[in-house]
Amino acid sequence: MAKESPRITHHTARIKDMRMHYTMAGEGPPVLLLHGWPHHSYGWRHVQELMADRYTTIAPDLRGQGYSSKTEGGYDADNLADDFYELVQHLGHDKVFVVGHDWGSVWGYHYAAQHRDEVEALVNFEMMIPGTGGHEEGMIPKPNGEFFWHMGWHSVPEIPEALIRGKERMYLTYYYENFAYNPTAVDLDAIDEFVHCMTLIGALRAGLKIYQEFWSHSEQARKHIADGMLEIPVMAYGGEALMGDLCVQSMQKVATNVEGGSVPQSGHWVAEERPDFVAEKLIEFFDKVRKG
Amino acid sequence: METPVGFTHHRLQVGDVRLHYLKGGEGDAVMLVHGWPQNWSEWRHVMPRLAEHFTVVVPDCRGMGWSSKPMTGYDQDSMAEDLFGLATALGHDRIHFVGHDWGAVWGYAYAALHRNAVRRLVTLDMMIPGTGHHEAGMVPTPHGEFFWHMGFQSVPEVPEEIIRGNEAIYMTLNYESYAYDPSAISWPETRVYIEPMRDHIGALRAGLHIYQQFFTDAEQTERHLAAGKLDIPVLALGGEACVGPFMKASMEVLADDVRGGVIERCGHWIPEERPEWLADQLIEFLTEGK
Repeated sequence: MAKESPRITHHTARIKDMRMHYTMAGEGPPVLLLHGWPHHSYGWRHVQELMADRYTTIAPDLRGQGYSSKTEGGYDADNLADDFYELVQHLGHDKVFVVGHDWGSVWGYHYAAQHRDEVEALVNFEMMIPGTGGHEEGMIPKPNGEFFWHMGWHSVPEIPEALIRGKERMYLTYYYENFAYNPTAVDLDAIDEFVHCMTLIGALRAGLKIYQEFWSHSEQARKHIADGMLEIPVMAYGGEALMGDLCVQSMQKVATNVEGGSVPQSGHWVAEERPDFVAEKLIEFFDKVRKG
Repeated sequence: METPVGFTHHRLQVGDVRLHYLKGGEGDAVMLVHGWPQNWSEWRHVMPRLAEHFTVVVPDCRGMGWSSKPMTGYDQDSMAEDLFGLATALGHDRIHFVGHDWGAVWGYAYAALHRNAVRRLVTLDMMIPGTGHHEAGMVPTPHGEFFWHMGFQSVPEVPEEIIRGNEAIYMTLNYESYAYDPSAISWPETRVYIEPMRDHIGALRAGLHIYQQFFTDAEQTERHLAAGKLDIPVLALGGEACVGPFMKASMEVLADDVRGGVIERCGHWIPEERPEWLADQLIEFLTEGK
């Protein structure tokens, strides 16, 4: 087992058509921590430890990722968000704080948009919501590979899976290193754990499915936006070395009450590069929301 | 790999590159220029027909086939200068230029850089960087139905590492998915493309460099266009299953006298999918008014 705090416990639940793996830590009001790609719940380990005295964190593995089942279908944003909603029902919580990183922020938005009275507050780290235009703009090819080329490439059926297979470690390491401010923050032990999960049967296929569904996610988001902006408190942070203020700008297109900014000395992997900053901001924000 | 009847193999140092080329026939010079991921061999079916009327020169371009793989020089103007150097060294001050895929891009650059050196230009199934047509096709759309390989292959380093060891499946995918008849380039025939790409050190890197230069190429096109459109006759043909009407549309931005259009029952691999038809078209266009 990969190294993590003894306060983190592992669980599985039968959710809809799948087995969902999730970790839990701490005591206090429930906080759902949603990972992105190529990641699973393990990416939240430092933040879970730092928040454990104040909040109960629940970090599930997405359908198809980590140790959750690799189902054939079900990878559109509304359904992925619904998986997490069902987990929260299973655990018996009426309302939760929802925090996302990378794609996890997209599932978080779709969770909040589908259950507007059951989310206390929503947090986005390092993601733009498909359908709000930011990612669409960033995917257009530009010189020297300085565009979100992986978004377009991963959206192509079958081919990326065939080419990445057998090269998972090199390919994933590219992201941990290049998208970071501190290129060693996702350390070699963590890479072992992430690569292990991405090489489980079906995981690579399932993870790439998320990208193939980009336009379904967008269409669903535009429907939610048409139903009205989110009115709950929203916080958004981009790593200063990657998305920066784009995350706040993206959330301002879906919600009326957005705060946040940039995470100093961090790239994409905020929960591993600056877990101290992430935990502190989350506790501060949630405390403020609870005081009303 | 068989050498087409009447052709011989040669090599020539042109600046920093050693070019391999085939030569055959007699008459006005025609240069047949391949694209990626191919080499001189894509012209094998049309070479003997053209050699009945012309001196036919068929090079492997910088970085590809059996030519050398320098570290730099893969932008369209540099690629065109290699070919201009080859033609000049062979004593052909004016040539007919026939380019397929990237070969069409280098043909445009050749004609734009040396405005009296090309008699007639033929461009096959490639939108020229800088005219907006390729740029539009590279924007991601659902189900992989966009020219994703253009963007992907423009990224430094990553595609080379990902494709290495997967050359056969990656190249076969190209031959199959951009064809009207997906079996037109049979799998035994693909060996002549796959093996040099896989087995020649530097070939994969060199080929991908061409894609990294896309944006430089587009700037070069804009500069050439600012100096005026081409005034030579241009034949621009796109396969219905691939670039289609956008080949002619792209060339109409760059030249005044553009004929051509869409080739029915044909995809991207025109010299191998419709070789007899293509040879007829080339002979007719290149001998017009003689």
